[in-house]
Amino acid sequence: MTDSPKTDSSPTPLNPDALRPARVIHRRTNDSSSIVLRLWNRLLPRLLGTRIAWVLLGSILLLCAISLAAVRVSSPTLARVQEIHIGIGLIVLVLAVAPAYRHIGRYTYAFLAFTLLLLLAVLKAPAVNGSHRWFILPGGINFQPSELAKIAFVMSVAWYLRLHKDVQGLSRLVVPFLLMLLPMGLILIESDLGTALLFPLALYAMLVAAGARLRHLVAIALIALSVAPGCYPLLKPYQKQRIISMFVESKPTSGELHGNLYQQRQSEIAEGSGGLAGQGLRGAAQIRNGLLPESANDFIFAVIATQWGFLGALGILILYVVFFGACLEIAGSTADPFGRIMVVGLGSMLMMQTMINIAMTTGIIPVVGITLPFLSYGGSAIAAYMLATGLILNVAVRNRRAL
Amino acid sequence: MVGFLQVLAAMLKRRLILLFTLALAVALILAVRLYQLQVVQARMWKDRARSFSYRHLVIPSIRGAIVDRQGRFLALEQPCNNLAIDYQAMNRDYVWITRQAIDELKDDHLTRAQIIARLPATRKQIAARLRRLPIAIARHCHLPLAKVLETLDIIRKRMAFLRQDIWTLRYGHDKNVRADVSPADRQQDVDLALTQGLNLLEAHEAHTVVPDISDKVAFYFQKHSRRYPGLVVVPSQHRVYPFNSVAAQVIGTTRQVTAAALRKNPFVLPRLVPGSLRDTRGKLKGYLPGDNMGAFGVEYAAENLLRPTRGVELIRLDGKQVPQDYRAPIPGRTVRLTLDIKLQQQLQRSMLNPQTHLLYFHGEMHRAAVVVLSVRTNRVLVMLSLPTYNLNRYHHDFSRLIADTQLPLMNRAISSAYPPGSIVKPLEAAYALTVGVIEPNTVLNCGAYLLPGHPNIFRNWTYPVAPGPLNLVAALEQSCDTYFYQVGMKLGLKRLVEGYRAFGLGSATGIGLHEETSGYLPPAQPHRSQFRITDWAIMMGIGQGPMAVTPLQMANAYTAMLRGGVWMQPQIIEQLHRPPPRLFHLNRPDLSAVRRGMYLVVHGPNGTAPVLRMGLPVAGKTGTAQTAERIDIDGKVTIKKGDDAWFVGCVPANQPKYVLAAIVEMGGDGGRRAGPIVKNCIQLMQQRGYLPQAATP
Repeated sequence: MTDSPKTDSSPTPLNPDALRPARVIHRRTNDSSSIVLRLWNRLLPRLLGTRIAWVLLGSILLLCAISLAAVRVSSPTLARVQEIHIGIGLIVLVLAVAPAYRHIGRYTYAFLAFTLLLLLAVLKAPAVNGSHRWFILPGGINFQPSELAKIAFVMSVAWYLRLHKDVQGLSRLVVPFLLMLLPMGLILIESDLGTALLFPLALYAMLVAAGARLRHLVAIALIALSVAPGCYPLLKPYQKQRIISMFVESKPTSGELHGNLYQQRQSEIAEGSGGLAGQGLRGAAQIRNGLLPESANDFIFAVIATQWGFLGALGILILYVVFFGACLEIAGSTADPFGRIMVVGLGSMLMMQTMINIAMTTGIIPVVGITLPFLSYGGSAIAAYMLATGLILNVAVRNRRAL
Repeated sequence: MVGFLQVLAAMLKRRLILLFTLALAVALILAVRLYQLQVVQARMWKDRARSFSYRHLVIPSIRGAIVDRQGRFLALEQPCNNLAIDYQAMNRDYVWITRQAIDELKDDHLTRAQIIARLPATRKQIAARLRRLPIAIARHCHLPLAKVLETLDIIRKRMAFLRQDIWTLRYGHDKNVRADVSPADRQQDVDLALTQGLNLLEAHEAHTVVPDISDKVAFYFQKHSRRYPGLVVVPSQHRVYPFNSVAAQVIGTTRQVTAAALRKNPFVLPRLVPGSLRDTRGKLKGYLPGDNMGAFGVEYAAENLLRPTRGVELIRLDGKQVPQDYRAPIPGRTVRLTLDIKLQQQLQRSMLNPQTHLLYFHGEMHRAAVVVLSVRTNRVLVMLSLPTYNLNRYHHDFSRLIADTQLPLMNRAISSAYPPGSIVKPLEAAYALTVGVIEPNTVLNCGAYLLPGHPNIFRNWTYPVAPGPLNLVAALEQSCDTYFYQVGMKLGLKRLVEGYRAFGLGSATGIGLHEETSGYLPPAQPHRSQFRITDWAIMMGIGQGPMAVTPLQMANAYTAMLRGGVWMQPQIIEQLHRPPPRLFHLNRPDLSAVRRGMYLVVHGPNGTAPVLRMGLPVAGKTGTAQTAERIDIDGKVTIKKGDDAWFVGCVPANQPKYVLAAIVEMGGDGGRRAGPIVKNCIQLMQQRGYLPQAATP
């Protein structure tokens, strides 16, 4: 299969250089003025023809719509800002679909280096809620570089693995793990355990998709897990507290209610009180009355579960599964290893974040501060998820293998 | 469907199926957990969530009044102005200060930009003013600063109490939360929860710092409201005692709730379920820190009747605040006393008037107590204890009152026991007649002293004069000690003590006031030598020796005798139930001799109380009881050795309706010192229509 979008480009009537060789056309596509044209004339027909891309797009747009409704319950003011976030996010998505992903791929290491620099810089930024995760930009926008780092990491691993289709040897795994450890280490230093946790998980998903020996992967995982308890003393006190309070939940001490488990307990109350069919507006009133403080961020799932009950919560879960299934389908129908591994990486990154978040709000695992993709309130996060979705769509529309 | 098959087909070739299966498995776990939370345990979680959509509004109520037998108010709640402080201001809440600062700047008609520019400075100013508030309150209300700070602390405790209540509603399900956590940790939890959504309505209300401020102070604080942010004058009520010092020790007063009462009977909110307010009366009647409770007297004894029940309204927090359930506050019951406060007031006035020489002898006021009991119902008409004090100034004067060696706080009618002296003689005679030790006509020699050859012990009060042989009536008339030494000796200690006990001496009457003392009687069979027992029997024959009684006990014993051996519990609080009367055997036909003797005490030629001769025939008995000196804890003699003057009278003599007992501490001669007080009281009772002016034939 050929790997160039040039081959199937058709000259537009507006293009004065229609009769020129494809190479020239390609060069012109880098001109930003013609990106929209190119999208309109060449990508749209393809997008329309790609049913799975619509499934993907549909699921995330539905999630965004639900997000607006849920954030409005928490705070109407935030909901208005969230509308802007989603608007910007959609522009980011379109921009991410426009250039062919492999051209973007060329800059992937540079992108990674840039995000690493940002991660270093954010350590010097003033602390918010006790950790250095955000840049406070003028206009009150909080920018979280780790969101970008996740994408950069996935892309760079995919970019590396594209040349090494058979990652059968253990030595081939060294570079991917190094690529993981760099951003993950920095994120751990800024004490964002939840986000850092996503990196190895996404890496594993990508290595599995790339065809690494499961034996090796399991062995590495076992070694890492056996070393992990040794890392316990390195954790911050509040992180230790979270883990401890998780295990002593059946016998709650005062520690239970000191912030970390308090939120989780409240979230359980909110979800449980939703019942089968949800409490509708009354549930919304409860949340506003202080049942769930900070409900628009990490615990947005509880808001939905209160209002729409078990059925609504199950619906959300199904939407995410559909989203992930679509990602895997796109990956499955992409021959190009870079595209395939990137789609798997981005998809599983988002999916794992979702699973961890829901497990956290339902009280299965300790509270790790990560948001629910597409649903939680947040500007840089929405933009990053839209960027990831755009890249997945990019692969979907460009590199389809005939089934 | 086709799409799904395509997905499967595409992934089967690769390892993506593995990833998808893993994702599905995790999603399934989450779904199961959600099912458990939202379907299986839904009811439990809904219960807990209710506290976030419902809230209680506590409605204050007022304490019951105390009235006398004719409905005159002895204690009641009256409207007043309280100085209150906003809870947020008290804690110098940042948001509150900011809002206050903005309001203040808006009042000055500043532009938005100007407000923003001046906000930090204004905020600082307000914070500084808030810091100075306690000092300002102390200065303008003339209170010590420590007192103001203490009050603020009590307000904080009160809030913690309410918070704990709501806390229990939400998390009380977790049994371990209450059991395991130390109180300090719990407080920390509750404080934390308050910052995280446990927001009390009371936290946005003003709490009283100084109750009942004068109009001048109220006006000052209202006029300078800007200088004192967070201070408000709120209309309220406070306890007023219209009769000031009359029956002060009986009525009693209120105090802030004690820690013990708070622990025993705390205020507890009902469950947050509509319809659950019905069965929680007892808990709503409980105390909150800072509440008032009776301190002593009737206020304390009838606390259960007087204490109000707070009302509760259940509202749904949906912005409309429509009551979902309502329970009206129940004001405390009005407690009716059997006293006639006007009669007591007049009696107190005449006794305290130095011109009447009822209590003032040689320019010195004596301590005294008067009890008037109705014979038929055994209700207390007068219970007077002097010196007394102004109830309305009790808290103000407390340090002075508690240090006063005259013990004005003591209710002498019930909580002070005195040697009875001769006033026991009619009781003793009635019992001796019943037992058969003497006959009404028994003549015994009334010598100057009992034992021949021992003129220094067991003397008659007439010593060295010896009246000679006397019968019972004459012995009572003259109050012959040697006669009753012999009666005591004939009865023996065992029977004598049993007799006195039958009349209710030596044990509390159970009138319901908690200050009551039981007095003292020795056990009927003490482990003592034979001589000592006889010794005691002889001494107790004239009401001396090891026995002490209260004026109420004495009056009560007389009514029991006059009813012919029917002992009844005296009553002062009408609502308190009394046990049925206790009957004891008295030989009724022989009682006429005793009453004849008591009549002659006043009207006989040799009677000891001729002072009581008046239009209405009065019977009675004088008593002049030798009293030991009283020594305080420092070993200092506070009251020197002397004689307590007693008089117990029955009017009218032929058909007694009332028994009056009066004691003047260290008064000396019973007839001359206690008699006039009883006479004065009888005259007042005649004026008020309790007694006729002259005997009815």
